[in-house]
Amino acid sequence: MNSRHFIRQFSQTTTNLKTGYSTVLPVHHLVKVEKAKLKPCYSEVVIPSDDIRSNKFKPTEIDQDRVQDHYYNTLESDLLLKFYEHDSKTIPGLKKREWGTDSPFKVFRKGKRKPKGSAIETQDIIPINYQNIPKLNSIVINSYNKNALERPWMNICTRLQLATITNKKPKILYNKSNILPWKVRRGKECGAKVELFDREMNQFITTLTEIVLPRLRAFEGIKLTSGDTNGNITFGLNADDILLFPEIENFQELYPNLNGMDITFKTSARTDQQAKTLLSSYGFPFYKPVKNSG
Amino acid sequence: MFSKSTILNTNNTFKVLVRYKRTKGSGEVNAATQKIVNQLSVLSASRKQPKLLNLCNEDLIKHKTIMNAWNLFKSKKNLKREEQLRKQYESMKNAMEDLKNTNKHLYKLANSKPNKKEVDLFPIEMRIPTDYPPTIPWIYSYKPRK
Amino acid sequence: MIKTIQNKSIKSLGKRFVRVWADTSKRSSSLNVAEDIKSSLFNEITPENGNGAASIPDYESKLRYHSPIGIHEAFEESYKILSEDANVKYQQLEKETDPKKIENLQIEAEQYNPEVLYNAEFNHDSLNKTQPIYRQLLQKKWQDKDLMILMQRLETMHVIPDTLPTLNPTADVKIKFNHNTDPRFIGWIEPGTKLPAFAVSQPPTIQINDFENKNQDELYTVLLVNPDVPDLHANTYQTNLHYGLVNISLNNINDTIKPQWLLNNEDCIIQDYLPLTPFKNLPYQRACLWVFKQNGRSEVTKKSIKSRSFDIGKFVTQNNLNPIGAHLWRQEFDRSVNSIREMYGLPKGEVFLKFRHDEPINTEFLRIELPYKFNNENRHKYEKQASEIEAVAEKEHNESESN
Repeated sequence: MNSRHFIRQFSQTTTNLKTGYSTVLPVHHLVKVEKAKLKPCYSEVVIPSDDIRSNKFKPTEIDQDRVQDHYYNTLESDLLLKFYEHDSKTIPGLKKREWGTDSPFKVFRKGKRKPKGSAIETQDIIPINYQNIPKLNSIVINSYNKNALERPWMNICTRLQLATITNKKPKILYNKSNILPWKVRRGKECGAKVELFDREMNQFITTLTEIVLPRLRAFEGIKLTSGDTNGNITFGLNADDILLFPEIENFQELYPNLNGMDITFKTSARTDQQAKTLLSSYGFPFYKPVKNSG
Repeated sequence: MFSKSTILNTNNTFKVLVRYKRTKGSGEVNAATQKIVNQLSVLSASRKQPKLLNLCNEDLIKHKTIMNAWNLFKSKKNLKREEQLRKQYESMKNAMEDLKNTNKHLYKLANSKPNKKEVDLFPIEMRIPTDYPPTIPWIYSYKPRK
Repeated sequence: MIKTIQNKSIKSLGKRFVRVWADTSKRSSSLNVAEDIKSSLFNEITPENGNGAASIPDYESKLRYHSPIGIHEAFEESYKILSEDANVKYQQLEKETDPKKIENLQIEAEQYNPEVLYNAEFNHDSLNKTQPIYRQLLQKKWQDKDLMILMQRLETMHVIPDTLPTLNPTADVKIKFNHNTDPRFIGWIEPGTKLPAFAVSQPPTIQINDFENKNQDELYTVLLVNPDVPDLHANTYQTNLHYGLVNISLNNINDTIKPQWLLNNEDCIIQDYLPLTPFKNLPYQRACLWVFKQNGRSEVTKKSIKSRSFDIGKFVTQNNLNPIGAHLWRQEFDRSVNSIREMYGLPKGEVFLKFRHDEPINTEFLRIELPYKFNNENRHKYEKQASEIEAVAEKEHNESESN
């Protein structure tokens, strides 16, 4: 039985994690009731966070965002020009198929048949017009720390490292499965991750392209082969590279246990090709990896 | 300040309980542990919240008005940008349609795209503009690297 | 005095821009704030020069309060941007003929006006509801809290479906009892509050705000029902009508039904007000107030309502009424019930047993006064009748044994 299920109610409730069933009294109206708004003790909490009276209020637009400005002033129209293709049509992705009715065994099969030539569905590739120019949605920084499996305090260092670099509180990663040779146990802390949006994301881009990456001697660029076919590009930095972040560089003795991290650029492009073009416009270098012969 | 409140009534009819700074346990941890504790305290959000601004009614409305104006300004700017892009798109489309009807060969060249495996990259010299532009702002004899 | 303040406030806002919101010739004066607030809204707050914030009543706090740096300069620029935008809207408004679009434009033209925002935020009890912007802001405020409170109470106290099957509220219904002097019962009553009988002894003042533009008066019906009257013979509860009003004409300005007004319009009353007077040891009773919009003039009069016993569902379908809002309060037996009963000429209240029996009492078989009642008067009678029945039963039992 599914352990996570929702109680169908007009009022908002959290997920019910208990097994078994619960009696739900019928509701006779269609008005959505937010219980927190009715409780006087929550009066301060329910103020929306963009209201200055809220204790969650945080002024965001306090200076010019030059990355965003650059995108709007230059890149957007350049990309539109670059991706324009006359008389192009939507290339349909691979979709799940019907089982067919030619055999009685197929009639009651559950779900649909997997797409031809692929285990998963792929998305349609829509021609670029002025409304869907690829843009960077967010950056995910993921740092898996295998040393934290044996020494849990190591994870604190990883979290602090991400928090210092990105100015955002990281989320803790937990192991999902048990793999004994690797000492992986379900529920153990094993690293941290942060997802950056808007200004924090743009700030991180400038730090990378202007301070960190140019000073990496061995860094050739992001591999042209990277990408998940859906327009998301990933590359990695190892522990030594992280020393070059300006927030860490001058306080190296405070960060003795640095950990490498994977940086994923989530873009709205439908193909990796377009996503790489977009990233190169922000100043990220790309290189073609040489295949090992023999 | 504390001395006043810590005086105990001699009859023991009431006690004033004061929370002191913790003394027990401090100094027992070694330097490495203390480092981790410090790191943890940097991460925790408590006591880092800035003080809430207590605005009077007039200033609250002033603040709201400023935010309204800023949002209006931004939305107008966005609309203008979208309109500009739409115009660019329309004119590109019209030009290509013209070319298609006049010269098939040129149209084919103009509409050609790199194949699936090649990526059309921006030159690495392209920079995000800064407040202080470089001494050579534009390289007229630019040739892409090979 | 007023003139000088106006000149001062306008002067501070520069020269070259359109002051649509300062113009009172075409716009309602209700869209402006009071003069003292205006002067501190449009001028820099400098308590050391005597220009403290007008909204702070306390002199000491007024001296202590300082605005954030630069807020006034930013406000002045913002005001220019927003009022220029509003000016465009007012120009469009002059050409527009469609009434719905006109109302939308009126809202758009005033939605950023700081004076309107001030009134809506801090003077929301005294807003002019003929202005579409105020109606919209009031509706948002109502939907954000009061509507949710009402629906929660109607649902948890089972007013729906005990009286009517459901409600899709479009109007904010508020009630208060003006005769009260106790500070706990002055002011608008929150739905579902338990009130003592003395606090509801006089008919309530009812405010109905349905957030629509009413060019002409519209007719409303108000019914106050109590679905918790014990019906001992059927072992259930029945509904009584405690107050009934029909053909109440209201508009955006006169949106309140006052008891004094009803004294001169007695044909509106189809059932006189009778406060709920619960008997002792009964569970709480709900006073459910329903507000309906009429499709036309109603023909119901005082004569057509014969008794307090009332079927609200039947009444609603017969008269083709559309429920738009509701309200409720609860009552239990309290010390003031007996005096209120006396005041309205009702007989002395009854006292019930503390627990309700599982088995229904077959009153037909017993042919006696109900055993719930423990008034001293009928107690003796009941005991006598009960002993008679026992004697009969014993006799029958003995006869059957001897046979």
